[in-house]
Amino acid sequence: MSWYCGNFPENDIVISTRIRLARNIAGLPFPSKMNEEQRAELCAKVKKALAESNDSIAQSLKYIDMKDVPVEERYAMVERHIISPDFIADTHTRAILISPDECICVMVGEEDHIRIQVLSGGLQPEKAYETAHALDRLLGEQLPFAFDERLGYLTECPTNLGTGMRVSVMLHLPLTESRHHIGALADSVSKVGFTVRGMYGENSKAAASLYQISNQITLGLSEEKLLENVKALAMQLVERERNERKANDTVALQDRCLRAFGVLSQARLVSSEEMMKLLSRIKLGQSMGYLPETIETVRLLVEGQPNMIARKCGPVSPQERDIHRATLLREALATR
Amino acid sequence: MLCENCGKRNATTHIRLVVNGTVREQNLCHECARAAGYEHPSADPLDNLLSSLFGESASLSRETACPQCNTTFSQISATGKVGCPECYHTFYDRLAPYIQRVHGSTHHVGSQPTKATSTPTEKVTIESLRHKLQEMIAAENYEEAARLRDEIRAMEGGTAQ
Ligand SMILES: [Zn+2]
Ligand SMILES: [Zn+2]
Repeated sequence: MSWYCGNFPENDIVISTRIRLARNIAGLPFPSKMNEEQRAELCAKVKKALAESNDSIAQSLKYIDMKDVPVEERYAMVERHIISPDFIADTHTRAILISPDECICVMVGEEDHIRIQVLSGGLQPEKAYETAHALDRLLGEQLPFAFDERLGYLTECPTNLGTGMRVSVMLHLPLTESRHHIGALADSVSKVGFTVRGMYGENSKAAASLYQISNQITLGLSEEKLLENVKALAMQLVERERNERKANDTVALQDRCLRAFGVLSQARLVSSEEMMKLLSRIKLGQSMGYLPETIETVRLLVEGQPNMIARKCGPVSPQERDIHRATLLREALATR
Repeated sequence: MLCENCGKRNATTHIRLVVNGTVREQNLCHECARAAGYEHPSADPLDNLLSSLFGESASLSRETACPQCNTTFSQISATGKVGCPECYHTFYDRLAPYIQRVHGSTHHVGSQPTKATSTPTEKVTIESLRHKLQEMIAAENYEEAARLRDEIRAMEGGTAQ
């Protein structure tokens, strides 16, 4: 099951959890110093290592050479959070190995030789890590990872040294945001070695009140401790948002959420900005008990992104895209 | 006296910190002191002399490059990216203060790879020397055994973290 379809722990506020492990192969230069031949060799090595393993997860991964992926699909993959924007920014030889549900993706030839990424819905850092760790062991049995006793796993950027592990949790924080707590949140989060940034928006402004927290420190902290810290911090933010929601159960809030539902059930033209703003209110309305839980707001948020629409409907004009988006939303809300 | 941080090497740097009126003293080895940011990467006096004679270019042309990938430290500090795993060994002393600032640590805690990796040469050599030492003792060749023992000690001293 994909990370954006279904019900997951703390799903009223936590959208997703992502684990990323950075690994490099000893004796090879880091990707920005590699030539095309070395890159092709690297892709082949990783492909072979996973293909020769008997593990069922490894067997299920599909190898995709990025040059065989059309441009719109590459951007649609970014919108589904499968690959990073950096990964498609240039055209060097790169590949991914991806699971059928797209929750597991091994990127080959990004900033590091290998980046193991596992996505899961809701707040499930341990579960995501378990899968990432299994793949790490599997690859590590076949490939000599660059490792130093002092510095841990060696990475192209010193900011990823040590465990090479980045945990990111995406949270929906509309009331924390409207109560102007985001600045305070950024401060308290940075004190414990994390960063916070707005998702889908420009700079720090979040388009749908979606914020992502990620650990900054990767060296000197074990994986277990980091998972513990991430969970504790996320739960702290969840509790704060839940308290704000309880304290703000007013007709005004109900009105705002139900109006959003009203607009999206009737509109014929919806831009992606408007969609994000209104889906955010619908999601809030669901957790307040104003709207049915069955509306798949996160799925709609992902499937309504520009390249996801283009992927389904082919190359269309921006206005036609807004029509397709409005239809997608109307149909999803009509049956409720 | 042994370093109070790693407990492995001799303490060569005495640090006296005054925090809120309380004096804290610490004895650290050269590497730990450097990692904690107490020492600047030592300026080579010859470098200074040359650069004062020829300007910047003299010191640049003498800059060490990574034996594996040819990256220099100025390239790393300009891009924030390291050339290859070997660069971390080549430029460890100069990277350590930066790493310390980013992570608040220079000592990895956590999982280790299953397979032998970038530093196998040193380990294999010590291992093989130990093996040879056992052989020499068994063969009662004590002169050679003593030489091997000293060699192992020297290597352990030089490669221990
Ligand atoms: Zn020390
Ligand atoms: Zn190098």
